Amino acid sequence: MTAPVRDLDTAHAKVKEFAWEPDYFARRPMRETKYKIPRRSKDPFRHLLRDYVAMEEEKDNRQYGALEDVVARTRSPERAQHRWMEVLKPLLSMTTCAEYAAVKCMASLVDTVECPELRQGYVAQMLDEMRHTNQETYLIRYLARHAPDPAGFNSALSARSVNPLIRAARGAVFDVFLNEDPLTCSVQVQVVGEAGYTNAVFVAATEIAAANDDPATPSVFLNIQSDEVRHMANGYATLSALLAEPDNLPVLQRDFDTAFWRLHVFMDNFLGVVYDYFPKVRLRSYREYWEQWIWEDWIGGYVERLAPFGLEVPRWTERIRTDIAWGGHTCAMLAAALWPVHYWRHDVMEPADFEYLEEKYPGWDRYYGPFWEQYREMADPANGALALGLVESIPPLCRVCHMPAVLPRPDLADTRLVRDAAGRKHALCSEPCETLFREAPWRYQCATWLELYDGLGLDEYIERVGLLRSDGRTLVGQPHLHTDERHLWTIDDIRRLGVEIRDPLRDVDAATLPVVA
Amino acid sequence: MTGLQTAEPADGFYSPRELTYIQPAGRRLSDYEAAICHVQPDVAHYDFGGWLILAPDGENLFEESSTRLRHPDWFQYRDPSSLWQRTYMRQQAVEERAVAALLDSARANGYLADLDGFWAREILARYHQGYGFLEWGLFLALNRAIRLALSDTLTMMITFTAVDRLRHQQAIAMFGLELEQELGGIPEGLGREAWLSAPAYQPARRVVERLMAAEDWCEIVVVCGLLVDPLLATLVGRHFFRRFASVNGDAVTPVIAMAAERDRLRYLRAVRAVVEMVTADTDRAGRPVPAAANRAVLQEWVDDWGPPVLSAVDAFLPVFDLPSMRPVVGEAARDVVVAECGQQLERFDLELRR
Repeated sequence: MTAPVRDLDTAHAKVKEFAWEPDYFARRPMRETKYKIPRRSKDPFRHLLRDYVAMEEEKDNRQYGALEDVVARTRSPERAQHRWMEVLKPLLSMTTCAEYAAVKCMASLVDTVECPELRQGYVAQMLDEMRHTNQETYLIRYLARHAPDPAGFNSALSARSVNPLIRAARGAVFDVFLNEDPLTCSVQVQVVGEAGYTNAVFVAATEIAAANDDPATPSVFLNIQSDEVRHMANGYATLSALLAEPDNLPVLQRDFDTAFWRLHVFMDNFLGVVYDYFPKVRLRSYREYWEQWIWEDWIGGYVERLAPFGLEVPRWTERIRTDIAWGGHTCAMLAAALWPVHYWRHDVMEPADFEYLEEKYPGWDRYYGPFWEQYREMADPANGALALGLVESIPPLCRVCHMPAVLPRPDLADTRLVRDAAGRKHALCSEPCETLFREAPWRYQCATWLELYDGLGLDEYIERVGLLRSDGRTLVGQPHLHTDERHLWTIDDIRRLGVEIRDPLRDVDAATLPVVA
Repeated sequence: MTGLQTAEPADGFYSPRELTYIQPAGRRLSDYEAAICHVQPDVAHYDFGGWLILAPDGENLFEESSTRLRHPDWFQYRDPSSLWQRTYMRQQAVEERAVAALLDSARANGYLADLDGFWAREILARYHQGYGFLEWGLFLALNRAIRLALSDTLTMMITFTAVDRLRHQQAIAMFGLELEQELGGIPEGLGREAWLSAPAYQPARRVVERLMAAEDWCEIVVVCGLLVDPLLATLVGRHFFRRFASVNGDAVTPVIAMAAERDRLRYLRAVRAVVEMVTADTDRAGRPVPAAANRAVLQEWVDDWGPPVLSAVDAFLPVFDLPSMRPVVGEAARDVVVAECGQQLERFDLELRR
């Protein structure tokens, strides 16, 4: 006797019976995979679409209902800590990019992976990712309407693309989600991105947002994270399937090593800025979040459980763990120094911030304290000086990750400058990025932000990329949160200073650099 | 700046409280546009300087050559249904609840046991289940277009359409499971057998397998929306299963068929918008669109795919003669779908030729 339809196993087995091997036309996937994938696997996602749409509709009602009703009527975004609200501009524009890339990544996986169990999971995740994309753009628009300062929210998805720091996000969460063997992309998206980093993004940001009187972000982020748990299961199912074939191990290890480095080099440095420099009410430092979510939970819980199958902790993990102490601070300093080119306001640090940062990162005061002291002084346009002058020069940007080649800390950086056979100069921020570059230099041809705008006046750049508010004078970015017109920087203030964007590589004699074939 | 007072910001703080990076298609920015426009980075819009990391073979993330159709700005596409995830999910949840509730009631009332044995075994278990394979194949074909589509608005529309096909396939599968459980004596695998070997389905399978192997994403989208759906899916889904089920005492199949039909009509409007876009003289910014060249490609696709799809239609016609109660003759139904499809194509100066 057959089981009733209500038996999920039977129902699932039934819906998966509809694939077949084509006879009339051979079908080649869009991208072949170098991995061997078993024909059958464990099903990570046991939902029929009819159950899925019902579940997601209910979750949507809760989230959008909260935003449209209680949160809007109580005008709570206006009362949130202004400093925290500013960093949501780059944060949300980055996460949206990642979610959307994941939609297309899942389509690639469905196209390439014929295992019906894995496919079911990828399809549901594809819908989830579109859901998250829409949720986050909804939140961006919501905050453009309700946050204290709409500038930057209202331009988030165009401004992210021309920002010298956020542009690098594409190298970690967009381009590499799409431009490889789909299984390599899956390692990047699901195994490292979702299993490793989504807790550090969505859960940690939720806690901090709530502590900083921002109820809108938690209502969206927690809703999203409830889907991410399923995606981690997808990643685990994919990994298990790959590890079932011993031949896959060397390539998987290599993909795993690379994926962690690529995500780390942007995400950890960016999240360090977000969590250590923008909450007014502080809960934990980014290093503490990293230790919990990445080190203990992901490396200790998820990755080490794979050791019996031969998969080792990613190659550069120890270095990454060490770099966490300083990378975010160096990025925060550079981000602050570059405040006129941002679509958010980069606030000054108060004495309580100094105290907190020194306590959490002993030595911080010595390396970064003087910058932030002077930054505070230079925040007033009346003083006629830009914080950019506090750093020796804008560091070159890495050809591989497009992050400043000065990490984790200027005196610890192992930046290397090279030239290729054609004589083109490249900065590489680290040994891992140099390794990636040497393996396939043709993949890294994109001009850096500094190369794109080298020689342009800072004022011209600001006008060209639309970083002025609608009065046509006031900058979107400001080095403080004040709104009194006397203290707002205008394009005239910038023009008066006559600053030019200058790529430090311009002055380097290519003949002196080692050649990378 | 110690000691400065933070003044209350003026509303808007010299900034519009609306997204400024989207050019709305209408007078005002819609929720749909806000939800999706420009989430896809694009080197021709804001992401200057190229892709940060190319594929190992040196390819870009998105290639204009992924389709033979050309348009100066695919980001101008707008889905006429304006569905985004929230509205899509809400709409489909209603549809799915209706189908699930109907199946629950049918089971509870013993309705399925009352179905005509021939209809249940030979038509539903064999041909209706077989039709589920067609839906699955269309899902897989459209899925490829999701990855390749050159803008976010197109990607979202195609995603929903692909998932629709999977929903239809699952609805058919669940109905099949109900029948197997309630009626007993129905051998498993009749649908697969029909799809893989019944003469009625072989030309259809040939079309679907070819579409699953196609590499031009616009070709997949257009052929599915302007030929396969209007001719084959409409003949089989509407004129056979929906209309024949009613007169053969089956109240469940028409509900499943109508839910699918509603999605197909939505998709038809969405594909018409694609074709209108590529056959317009200019884009919304006034730039020229290579309409004549695009129309030639479209006609080539219609010429190339039309005859095999029509063969698939013809091959299914003998199934119209199997049930005892027949509300329409197969050939008449074929004439209707061919005429309707031809009218759709004529809107764009395209012609369906044998």
